[in-house]
Formats: sequence, structure tokens, C-alpha cells
Amino acid sequence: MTAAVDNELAPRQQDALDRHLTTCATCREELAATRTMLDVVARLPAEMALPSRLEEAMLRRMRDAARAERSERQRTPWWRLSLPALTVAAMAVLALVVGLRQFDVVSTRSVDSPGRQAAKSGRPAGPPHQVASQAGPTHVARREPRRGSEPPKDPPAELASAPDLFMDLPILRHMEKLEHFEAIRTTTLDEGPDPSDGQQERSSG
Amino acid sequence: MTPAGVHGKVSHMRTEPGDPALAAPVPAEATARAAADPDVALMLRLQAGDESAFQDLFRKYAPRVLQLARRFVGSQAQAEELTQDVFVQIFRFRHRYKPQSRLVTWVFTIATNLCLNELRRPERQLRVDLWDRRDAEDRPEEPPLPDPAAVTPEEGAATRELAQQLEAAVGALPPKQRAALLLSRVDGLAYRDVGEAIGCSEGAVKALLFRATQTLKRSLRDFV
Repeated sequence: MTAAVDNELAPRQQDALDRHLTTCATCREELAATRTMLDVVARLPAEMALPSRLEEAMLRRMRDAARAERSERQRTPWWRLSLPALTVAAMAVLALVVGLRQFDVVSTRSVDSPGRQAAKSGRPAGPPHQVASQAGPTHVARREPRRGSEPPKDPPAELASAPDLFMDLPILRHMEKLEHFEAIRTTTLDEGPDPSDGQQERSSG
Repeated sequence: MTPAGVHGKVSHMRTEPGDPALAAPVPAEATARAAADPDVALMLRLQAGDESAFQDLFRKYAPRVLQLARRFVGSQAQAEELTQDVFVQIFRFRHRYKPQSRLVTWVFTIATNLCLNELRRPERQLRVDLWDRRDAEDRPEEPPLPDPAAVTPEEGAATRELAQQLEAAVGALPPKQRAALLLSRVDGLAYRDVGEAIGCSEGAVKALLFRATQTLKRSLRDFV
């Protein structure tokens, strides 16, 4: 009804309403009452006299806001002022992160040696010296000796006396946990002798 | 919502017309619109840092904003605070105004949002409860409805009675219905502009107006 009073109905709706109103006295009364009520509401005063103090207070607040704006602009942080420098810095950080991720992926692949892959897949793996040699030069080149502690020249007595441990597949599955074993393996590869020699020495020792 | 101008530290610093720190570049299209619409010209002056433009804007729209706010919050003091907040927002966001939209719609969008937010505040709910518990005779008298046709004392009294009842009935409407009714009927905004101001579609505005009118007809059936 309000839309009809305001002529906001679509033409099709307006036609339908007009046809209906010709036959329905109740709706005619309803429409008239709606129009009367909306007219009464429209006669409500739209404005109110402004107290003079309101305008004065308003102007003070506006000037405060303007002063705050100026202060804000003077305190603009450096990164808002030098957008190109920020862009370059962001790109450098991004390149660094991507590079580190690439390095991490290659290292993970090299640590995930064929022996471990074989252990994971359940296939029998060769002896550790063969596994180490299959790791290839990439593994040797990328694995740096641990800093701060020299690798032991000789294996601990309990390991040297039990060379069969090196053939044990469960141990190979947890290779990363056996720091002594890792040190021995690295030392052997870095010094460059034939892995089979080290195995023979341990076996004979 | 304490007005800084009343309780805060008063600043005597003036913004100079054309203050470059507050100015923004004016596109050619906006200049063309300003020539056709005095409201746009007013806003462009304000965007350029002209303090007198703000005064002109305030004098033009504040009486309507104040009346709208009073019909939302009920008290004159709170309505004045809200009016100040509206114009502080207008000043702060003056660079966001686009000449493509009508200034009156933009002003009433800000005003309606602040009024609706004020009604949603929890402490406001408490105030309304306390207000409702007061006796009717303690409340300040609502402004009379001006009616040039009311010449006799009897008619004048009837008009005042109707105005009071109408103000009370409008004040009892749900906030969105009240906003739609006042913006549409009293401030003369089109349905599309009302929808923009209260954040709904034209269809929703029609529905709000219909419900508000039905409620008013029930409330005022003895007077209208």
C-alpha cells in the first residue's frame, strides 16, 4: 500500500491493484488510510532549531580533527613514504625464503637415501656402505660436517665390537637418530676411501 | 561519546582556506558536476580545505540531522552529541565523498548509521529502560506539529495532541522501520536512497515502510 501511495509499484502491479480497487471497498479504505497516515507523518517537522552552542562546539571539534589530521600526516611511518623501497625489501625476503625452501627440499631428498627408501618400501637394502655410496656425490657435497665437534676417528667401542649392527634394517630406518653412526658415515665419505675398506676394517676390528 | 568541543581541550588553531595539508586534487568531472549541483560544490570546497564550506554544510544539514537524531535517541543533549559526531565523520571522511552520489544521501547515511549504532549500545538499552519507567509527566514536551490550518484553539490542541501521539508512536517503532519512515516521509529521500542509507534493498525499504505504516495506523486509530 505504501508503494502504491508513492507510485513505486511496477506498472503490472499498479494495473492489478487498480482493477482490484474497483471491486474491493475494504482495500480502498485501506489505501486511503495509508495515504492519510503517510501524509500526517510527512507533516512532522524535518528540521530543528540549532542551538548556537552546538555550532561553536562543532567548529571546535572540526578544528581539533583538522589539527589531528596534520599531526597524523607528520607522523606518517617511513614504510608509507617509501613504497618502492618496501617493495624491493619484500622481494628480497621472498627470494630468500624461496631459496631456503629449495635448499631444504634438496637436503631432504639427499637425506632420504635409497637405503631408507628401501626400508620404507619393505624391500631388502644393501649394506650401509653400499647405501652410502649410492647416495652419490650430491650427498657428500651437501652434507657438511657438524660444527664445533670433530667426528670421532674411531667408532665407540660398543659399536666397533658389534659390526652386525650396521646390517640391521631397523637401525637403518632410524638412521637420523644414530648420531654416532651418521658421524662415522660422513667421516668415511669425506675422507674419500672406498667404503668397502671401512667395512672391512670394522669387520676385522 | 563525549564531544571534544564541550568537555575536551579546546583548540584555537584555525584551518586556513585552501590549506594544502588538507586539500585533495579535484578532477575535471567533479568540477563539472559542482557547477550543476551546489552540494557538490560545497563538498569540493571542503575537500580543498575551506573551513567556511564546513560551516555552510553544517548550517544546511545540521537542523535535519539534529531532528533525525532526536527522534532516534529521545533526548536533546544526546541528539546534539550525535549531530556533532555526524559532522566530525563528514569532515574526517570528506575525501571519500564522490560527486557522483547525492550529498544528502551521503549525509543521511552517516547520520542513520550513527543513530542505529547508538541504539545498539548496551548502556543505551539501560537508559531506555530507565526512561520508560519514568512518569509521562516528567518527560519534556515534544515539539508541536506545525499546521497552518489549525487556527482555532480546539484545532490547535487537537493538532498538538496528534503530534505528541505521532512522535511517541514513531519513537516506538523498531529502529530500521523508524529510519525508513523518517528518511522517506520526513526527509524526502527516494526509496533507493533510503536503502543506501540503511543498507538494504528497495524491496526491503518498501516492506519496512509497510510495517511501520501498519503499526502507526493501529497506534493512532483514535486520532487519524
